[in-house]
Amino acid sequence: MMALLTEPVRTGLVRRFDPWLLVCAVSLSVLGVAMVYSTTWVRLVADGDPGAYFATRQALFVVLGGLAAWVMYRLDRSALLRLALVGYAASLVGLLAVLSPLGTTINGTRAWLTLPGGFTLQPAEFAKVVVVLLAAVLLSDRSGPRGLDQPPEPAAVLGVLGATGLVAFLLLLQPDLGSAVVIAVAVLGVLFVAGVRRRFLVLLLLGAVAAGVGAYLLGVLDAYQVARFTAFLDPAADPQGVGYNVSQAAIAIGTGGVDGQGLLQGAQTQGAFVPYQYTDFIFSAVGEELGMLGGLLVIGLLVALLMRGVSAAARADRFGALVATGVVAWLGAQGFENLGMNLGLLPVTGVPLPLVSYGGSSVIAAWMGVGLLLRVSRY
Amino acid sequence: MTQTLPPVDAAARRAKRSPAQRRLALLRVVILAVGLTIAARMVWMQTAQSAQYQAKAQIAQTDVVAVPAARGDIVDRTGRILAGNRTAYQVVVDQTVDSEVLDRLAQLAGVPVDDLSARMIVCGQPDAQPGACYRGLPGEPVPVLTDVPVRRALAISDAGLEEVSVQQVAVRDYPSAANAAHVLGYLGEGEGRSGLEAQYDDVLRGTPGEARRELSREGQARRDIVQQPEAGRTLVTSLDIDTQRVAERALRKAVRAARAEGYKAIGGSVVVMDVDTGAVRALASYPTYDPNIWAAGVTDDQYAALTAKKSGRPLVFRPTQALAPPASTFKSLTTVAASNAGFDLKGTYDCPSSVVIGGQVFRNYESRAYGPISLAQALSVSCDSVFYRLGYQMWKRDGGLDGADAAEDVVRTARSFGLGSATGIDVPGEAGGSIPDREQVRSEYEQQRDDYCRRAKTGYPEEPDRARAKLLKSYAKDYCRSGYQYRAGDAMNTAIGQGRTLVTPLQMATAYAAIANGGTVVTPHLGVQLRGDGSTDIEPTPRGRADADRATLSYVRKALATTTVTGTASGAFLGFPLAEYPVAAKTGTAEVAGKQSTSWFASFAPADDPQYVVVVNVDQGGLGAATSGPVARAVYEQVFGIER
Repeated sequence: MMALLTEPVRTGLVRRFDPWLLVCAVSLSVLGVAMVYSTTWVRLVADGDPGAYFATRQALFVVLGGLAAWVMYRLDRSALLRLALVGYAASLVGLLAVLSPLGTTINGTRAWLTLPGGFTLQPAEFAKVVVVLLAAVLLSDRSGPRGLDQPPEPAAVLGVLGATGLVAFLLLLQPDLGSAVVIAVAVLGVLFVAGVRRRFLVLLLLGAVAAGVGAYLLGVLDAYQVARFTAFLDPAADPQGVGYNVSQAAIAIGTGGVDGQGLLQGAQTQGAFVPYQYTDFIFSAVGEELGMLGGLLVIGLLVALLMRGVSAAARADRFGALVATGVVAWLGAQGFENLGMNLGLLPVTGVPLPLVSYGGSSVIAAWMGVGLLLRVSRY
Repeated sequence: MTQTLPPVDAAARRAKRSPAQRRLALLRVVILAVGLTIAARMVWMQTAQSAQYQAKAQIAQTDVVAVPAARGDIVDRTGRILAGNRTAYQVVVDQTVDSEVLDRLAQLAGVPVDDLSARMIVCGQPDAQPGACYRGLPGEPVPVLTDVPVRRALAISDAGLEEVSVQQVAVRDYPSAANAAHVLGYLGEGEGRSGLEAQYDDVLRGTPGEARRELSREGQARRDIVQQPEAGRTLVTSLDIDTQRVAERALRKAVRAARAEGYKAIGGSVVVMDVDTGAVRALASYPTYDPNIWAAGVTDDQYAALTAKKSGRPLVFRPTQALAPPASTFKSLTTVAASNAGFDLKGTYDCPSSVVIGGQVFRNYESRAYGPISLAQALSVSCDSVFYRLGYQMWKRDGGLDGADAAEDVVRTARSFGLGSATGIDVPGEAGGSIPDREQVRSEYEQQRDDYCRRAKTGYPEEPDRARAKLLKSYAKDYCRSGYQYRAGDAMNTAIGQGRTLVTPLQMATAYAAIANGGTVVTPHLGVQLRGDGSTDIEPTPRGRADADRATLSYVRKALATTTVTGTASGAFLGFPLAEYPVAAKTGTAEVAGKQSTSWFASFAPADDPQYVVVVNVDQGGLGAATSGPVARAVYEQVFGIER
């Protein structure tokens, strides 16, 4: 097992992708569809639906995500470069569009564009892939193969920071603090692995913290964001609002015990006591119905996916390594933040659990990331 | 740079790795560390803490509900309780109670079981009965019996029925010997809806506390008080329970006596007020009702009775809401107005039995002819003809029918004493009244002309009484032609307090208080102080100064003091120790077309150093002196402690 987590499969020149990556991603997606069904069927049946509406859609998203992953897997480096630039431009347009009257506000965040057929598009999810890809492109040498051991050119670093900052700024306008933090952490990861001097990274981190504190002091943050943060520190302070969500999720997980109450059997889950359980709080349903074993499986699959991603990076050329690092840092930051808020360890910022939570944009974007990891793992 | 060397094998391994590989290795470490932390947290929650979450899971819902604060008392000036709280027993049952238990409870309580089940149906459901249905929160026990007698409550408690319990609750209570129902007002769903209860609701109510309410999965509610309520403050009023009781009793007696004489006497008022401060010592209204009926909730039938004309509309607070012409009690104001207009207070004025102006005969109503008399005597004996003439003369001086820039001394003076507008007393719902001047007569005509002119043509075909229909039609014709005019008759009627002048007994009391205190128009009030958490005095500012000089007021006071000795009220005050407690008074008998006359008695005492003003009025109660005089006398006997 430890070998799986640390040692890359080295059988001479690997031209085949790393199958473990695919196993982890597919397992998480299948679990996700099952949990989406478990958390939504009761209310759907009450409304006269057979019960599988959301689960079916989630399965469709996974299939679409698989297709997107296959495309990412097949694209060559120059195509990826073009995709990064075009995708970045498209992301900016999308992020501006949600702020325009075209956007839809859900739970206080203006982050969605309405599509025909009852679908919505969340540009922030795709912005994550694109920014990671763009950072890798910019920090790789254009003049020829250059190892990971040489530091990147300062102009490239500034370009990455500028591109990331612009997207983060647009995300904060929605406001989508969670996605902004995830993107920032992902880019920091890429910069770190790309060999940017530590002193510089520390300064960046301090700057980010100072910006956060300043935003709080200047009152830029909405009341609900502050409430979410204080609720994380003391869920009892606001038993009706976010604190309610946090404490109900904790009750679900805590009552799961070792082997869980069984799929479709969780009292908290089936009684619909946890708001947003099929999206951001899906892990609480895992914890209640599948118990400690199910929870450890999800955490283990996520960690394994990330570890195999790092292994792929270790074998790849500079560009591939940076792409893989970016995807790992992104999925890791988002996944751990989501698990942390489900377990009451981190404040609630409304980011989905990659591959598991319900949501088309989120699932497809995560699978694009998986596709990139699979591509890099071929080196 | 000095650095401790790492162990050899580690150093060797590190040397093999490039810096980039080392950075990736660090990334692995971070991923593993965070993953393990999260896994550890989850395992801890699901093992060590699992029992704790199991307990929390039993609570299906949490919310915060208000805990009502104990309502503040309303007390009289000596601290005796007018409105307080008493403990009542109520029986509550869980919403899940079964019908056998309910049957047994109905037996014990001696009520039909349908009454109990009706109380358990949540309002808004198809078979819910308004008034009986349950308005509370889900999961809470439902009160099915309120204000249960102690013995019954004990019996029910002893029976030990499952899901039934007896609770003690605070109920608004009016324990005093006085009624004062209108003054105190009543509550609706814990909120002051009228009277002092409404006026001072925010201070009486206090600050509600907060309780965290937990609803279990089984539907049981549990409360934890997180913030204690803060009791409401006590309202100290200027009312005196003894004076109030005497005023109420005397008024009731006066009404009965008037009815025995053949008057309808549909209702009456007594106002007893401090002349200097406007602090009200008693405010009686007849008919009244039992304020305790509100505690248990008034049924539709009860409410209909409270507002019906047949029962005299007991909800109407007559001292501040019943408008009537002030009749001869207004002559004191006409006297002041005449003085303001330059008439000589020392002169003599002829008092014939009638005066004829423009072919119309104006007769004395209360008095006979006295010949030439002083104004003081004219007041004392209430000679109409003297005041008719004063009114006529002032009207002529104002320019008669034209009167573009008329001084209108009578109207202006009366208004300066606070007549014809609300006094600002701290009891909601006060009526304004009116003293029409030329301008107002004109503007009313503009509004009503079309109606009357149409009626002048069509008549009143819907009126069954032919004679009355004819009279109305001729009145409509007259009004249509010349209703805009402020005629001599209007001015003369105003001068004797008739015509279209409408005031409340409380306004009259304020005007007489101003005569008594030297011209200050006080703001009548009941609230004096708020106690509890320190004390705050309530001191309303006076409304202003009446348009009267001190000499004139002194003259009027002396004139009024003779009324009880030799004037119209001498009979009512026969045997009263007037030497010790001289009473200044003016009687009045208001005529309203088609109704019996309304009896007025406006007074203050002691006449030489006034303390209290007492105004009595009995609607359709006959003569002022005969019907209302004895009421005022009874009040003075109480406030001065005079043994009869």
